[in-house]
Amino acid sequence: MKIAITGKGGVGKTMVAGILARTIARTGRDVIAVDADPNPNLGIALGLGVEETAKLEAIANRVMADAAHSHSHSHDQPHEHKKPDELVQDMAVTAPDGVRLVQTGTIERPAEGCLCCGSHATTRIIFNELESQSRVIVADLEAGINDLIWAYPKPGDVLLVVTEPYIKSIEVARRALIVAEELSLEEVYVVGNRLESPEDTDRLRELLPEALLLEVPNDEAIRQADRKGMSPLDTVPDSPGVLAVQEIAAHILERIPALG
Amino acid sequence: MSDQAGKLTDSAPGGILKLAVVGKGGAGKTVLCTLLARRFAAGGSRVLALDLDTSPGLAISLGIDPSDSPLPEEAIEENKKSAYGWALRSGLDARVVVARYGVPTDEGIIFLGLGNTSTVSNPTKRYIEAIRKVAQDFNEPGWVMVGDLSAGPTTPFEAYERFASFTLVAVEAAPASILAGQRIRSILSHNHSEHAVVVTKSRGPADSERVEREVGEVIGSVPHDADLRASELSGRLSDPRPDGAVAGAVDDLVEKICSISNFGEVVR
Repeated sequence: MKIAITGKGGVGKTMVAGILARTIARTGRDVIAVDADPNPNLGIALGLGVEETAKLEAIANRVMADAAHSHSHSHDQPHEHKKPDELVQDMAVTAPDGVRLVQTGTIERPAEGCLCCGSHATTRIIFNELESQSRVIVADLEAGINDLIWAYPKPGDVLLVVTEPYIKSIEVARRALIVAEELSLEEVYVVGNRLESPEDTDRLRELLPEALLLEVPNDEAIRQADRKGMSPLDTVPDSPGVLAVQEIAAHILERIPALG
Repeated sequence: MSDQAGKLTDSAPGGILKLAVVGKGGAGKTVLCTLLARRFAAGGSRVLALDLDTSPGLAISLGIDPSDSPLPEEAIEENKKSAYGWALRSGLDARVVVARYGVPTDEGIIFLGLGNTSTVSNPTKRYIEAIRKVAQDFNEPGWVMVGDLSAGPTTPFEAYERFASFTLVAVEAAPASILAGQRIRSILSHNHSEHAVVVTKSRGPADSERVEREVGEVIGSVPHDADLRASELSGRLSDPRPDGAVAGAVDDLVEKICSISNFGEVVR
């Protein structure tokens, strides 16, 4: 199973991805968490800590360094020399609950390579070519919907569009839903995050009338965990926001029983 | 705000002040752009607000319906040499683009944004090169340009901020935002882009101190404001209370930017 997570910047994609990945891993499934954001911080949300997260090496950076070394890099076939599964095997870091984390591309050293065959192409290749019959891939995409188009999920994949009840993020969600329709995605959910009132839910239902809405309440404890650089699963496992994301995980696993 | 706002007198005729705002998603880039654009407009400058973000936030915060404001398809054309295969239509001059496609707000700010037809077949990124070109080429004396860039280090990596004479890195005092700020600063330094950090959603001096310690020189700190946040539920960012902490912080920031950039003079 593959789950892609998109939405405006700052709406809580990474928090949802982190809790989701660990919750699914706790059911005994093999989970690969893919941080597709060139500003990666999924490691923090998974509970790896800020320092460990900042130290992680990204696949695109390794691949491009290798390619530069062997002079084999080309725009058409940026990663011809290594299979996605081998790259994950080589580079994944194990986070709490056994989730294996990979980063597709960070931008730390400027002017090395280009994004089209760096982070973005790596996201598409990792998301689409990684073996996903026997495991669950959870991909936290870059803010905005360009990266959704880059990742190019397929009709069998799950898409979570995270939004706050604020108009700017709803507008990004609306656009993501248009792209999802173009891609003929079938399992698309809007995750309404940081909802404070019934009016917030009503606004989402009114502005995104076709969407299947899953609700996560505003949770100050999650914000506190975020500011400390910790996973809310470790600091406030019973807080309402955490429990709501765990329900989303259960819902997705129920909807897609292929993994048994 | 306009009552309290100082007047900008252009002591550097012939100059344009071009600002870019970068930062992690959700750090408050768009709110900062909106506050700055309005403050400069209230001070008497002509302001061009450019949205280089593929998400249409700046139009919404300025009070413009994003579906009314896209750069239309007629303004771009295929161009194999351009980054995404599309560029500003040849023969279109930056001033013409601003005059023809810019959308004015009630405060007299001119807004120009990316096309909003964000689909697989006509992605917004097609419009990026066109807006970049306008940002580079528009150099009308006495104007202030405020450019809102996409979240994260991608746009600085592609040197989108190069149009600007000064880049503001919006950083919230939280680890993910700080990490983004550090990464972005490293790229801006590499690009030789003059820049400084603005703390957003600050909940006190400890936040500013933390960001200064972990990211770098802070030239302004905009406090968290529940009323402004609430106004974002439905659309236009409300104006901060004239005597409130946000308005004061924006006044101070504008003064610093003008002084650093040798642009105009704020008379209180």
